[in-house]
Amino acid sequence: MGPIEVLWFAVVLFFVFVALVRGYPRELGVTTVIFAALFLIQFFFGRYFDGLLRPALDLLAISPTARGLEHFKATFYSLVFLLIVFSGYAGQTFTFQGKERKGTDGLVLNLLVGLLNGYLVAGSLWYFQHAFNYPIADFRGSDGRPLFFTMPLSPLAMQLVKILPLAVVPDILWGALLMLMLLARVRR
Amino acid sequence: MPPAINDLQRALVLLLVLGVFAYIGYRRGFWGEVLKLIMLVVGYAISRPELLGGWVIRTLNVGYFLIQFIRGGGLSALFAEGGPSAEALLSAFEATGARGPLIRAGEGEGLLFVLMLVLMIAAFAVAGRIKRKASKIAGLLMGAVNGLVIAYIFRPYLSGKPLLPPTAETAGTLDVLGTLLGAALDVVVTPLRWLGTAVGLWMVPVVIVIVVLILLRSLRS
Repeated sequence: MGPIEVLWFAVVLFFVFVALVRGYPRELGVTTVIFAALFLIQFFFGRYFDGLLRPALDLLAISPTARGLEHFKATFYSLVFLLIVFSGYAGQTFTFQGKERKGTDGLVLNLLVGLLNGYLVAGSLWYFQHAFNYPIADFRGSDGRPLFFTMPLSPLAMQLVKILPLAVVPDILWGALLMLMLLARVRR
Repeated sequence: MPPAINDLQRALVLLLVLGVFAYIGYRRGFWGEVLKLIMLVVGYAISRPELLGGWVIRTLNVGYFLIQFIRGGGLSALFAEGGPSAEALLSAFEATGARGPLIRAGEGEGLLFVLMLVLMIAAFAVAGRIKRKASKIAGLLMGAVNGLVIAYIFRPYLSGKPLLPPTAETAGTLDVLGTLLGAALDVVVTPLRWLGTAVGLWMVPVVIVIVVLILLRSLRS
């Protein structure tokens, strides 16, 4: 694979495609679920995860290396996040009531929500890698080439890292946005 | 061409394939996509001599021998009045053996590839007729999986193995494509970069809130 920003861009585009076919009332439900996931992860995990992990490892008599711990944390955070996001798409979904706008307006709104969801999901997954020194870059193919993306980061990637959602948005805002979405859903 | 542009092209072509098939899956539904997936896997197995391909070639050759045996008078020799005639049978076997197999070792890859394509086309034709209802999102995901399988099957052609000898014109086209795709990435990230540097990072949460408010306001009751 190429640089990480290309992978990031690909994931964002995927969410744009999904938003174009599903429409923004449905996608707003997913946005709500993403806000909930980010609030949970940043507010609770950020404060208590390390405090809980250490005794758990002691209890199980596991003493991982520092790199092993980074792998575990990045994987755990990513999996929890993806599971919550997936729940927004699976089964009975959290859809906003109301009539969807058609034509160019609808297209632009679908694009907007796709870009927002893509930025939130791809950006958060990237942030989990960045926060734990890119454990996924350790995975290489039989020819020694990286399986997912190349390191070190390009100048563009270093700029993008600064505007990843979890890097710039305070945890309390995720909570506020979640409340706003729930209120808007109930009001309708 | 620089490797980064090549990788970018590959990633975006893959993404385009996934997007198109996900959209088809969304429109056609889950069960049609499941059928397509099964046919794709079977088709791929047939295209590989070490999987089902070898068995297909052997079966075709056996069928061909059988037809040649019948045409060479083998059946008449077996069911001749007064019992099978050894001489006539031997002559039929000789005629069959002289023709050799229909598909010789190392010659079947083209045929197997065509068989795989026929199966794929048949799968796409039949999948469109399945009307059984299921979740559209499941269809979308299954469609994306099918896109991934197709991209995997045709990966030699995505990963730079040329179908035709390269020409100056082809290389030029790919360069232009790479530049365009790189420009698309720049168009998307430039506003974000601008926000981050010129206005300040605090502006990103503000933009998120504004987008959410616009979307909520746009829902008609």
